[in-house]
Amino acid sequence: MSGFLKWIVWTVFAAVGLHFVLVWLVPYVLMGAVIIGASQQNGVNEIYQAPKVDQTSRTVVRPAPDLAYTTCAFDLRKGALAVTMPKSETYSSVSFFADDTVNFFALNDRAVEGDSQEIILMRESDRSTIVPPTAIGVRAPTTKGLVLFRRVIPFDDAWPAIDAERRKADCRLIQG
Amino acid sequence: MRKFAAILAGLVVAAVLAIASVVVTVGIGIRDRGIDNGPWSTSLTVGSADADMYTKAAVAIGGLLALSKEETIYYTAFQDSDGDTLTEDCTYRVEGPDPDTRWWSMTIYALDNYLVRNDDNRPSVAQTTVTRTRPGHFHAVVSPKAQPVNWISSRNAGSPFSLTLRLYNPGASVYSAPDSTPLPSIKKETCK
Repeated sequence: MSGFLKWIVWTVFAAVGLHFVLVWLVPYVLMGAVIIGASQQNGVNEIYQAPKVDQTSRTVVRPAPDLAYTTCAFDLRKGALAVTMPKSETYSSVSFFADDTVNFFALNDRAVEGDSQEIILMRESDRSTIVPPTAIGVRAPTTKGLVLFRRVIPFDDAWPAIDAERRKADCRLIQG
Repeated sequence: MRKFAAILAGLVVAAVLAIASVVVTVGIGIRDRGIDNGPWSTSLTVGSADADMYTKAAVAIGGLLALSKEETIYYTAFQDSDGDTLTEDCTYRVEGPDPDTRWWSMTIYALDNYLVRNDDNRPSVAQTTVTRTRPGHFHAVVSPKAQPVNWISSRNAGSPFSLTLRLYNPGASVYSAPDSTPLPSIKKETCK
């Protein structure tokens, strides 16, 4: 095989390998940026009430202007996380995302009995955290990720009431 | 020295080819999600651990933090019902029965996957905001010009823009037949 032909073959191999590496990396890089951005708003393992979505919103692609968003960037190296999903008159949900964008758990308002539902988020290897009988235990496939609350804004005029209701959501580190 | 230059040139060419191929393949994945229903397209592996790496990459770029199908199904259209690209040069009538779901919304996005930059404050319509002429049925008008009812503003949306139909807690017919469950048509009415 001539030198030039060898060069072409190796270049194509390198391109194919690099292609797969880049495709694999994309979710981690973009999700990583979102987690870092969310943690800079209010810190890690802390709740953050995102501003109402409008034409200037540029944090995450394809935001829904009919939803109120609340986030909590989690890092389970410091312990398990207690997440509180409040009840809702309109559709609402809490969803948990791993650092590779996988939505590994979600709960919507129809599953909330009473005023709220507590979810205990733990590492896969956590064997010490005790989940109260009224709470739901969830094991995260990755140490870092994002909790995202969504709540429907049924009408424009409903925003103040929806904003007040969503502030009952919580996420906090379980100490000890 | 010559060998070093050849290796460097090879790496540069490989990088360019790799990046270009990623842009093309993932870009196709953003638009063609695998399941077509008229002008709408969806994927049932969005947000799922079972999604392949291309779906995950496409979702990361074009729909980060999308919920998995157990909670929400997303349909997106880049074309009208005649297969023509959606453009702000045209006015479209989107019409059909309410999708089989607990709650739905339909939102316009520019090519950069964000809300269109205009101050019309008309980026979407939803089940609870749309004005109806008959129960269980709705229409919306996507146009750069103001409309009297159910207006979604495409002013400054460019071409192509896209419409995303979100179905929260979809009904059984959506899961059993995502390619044929009744969804609204997108008809071009006028163009510049």
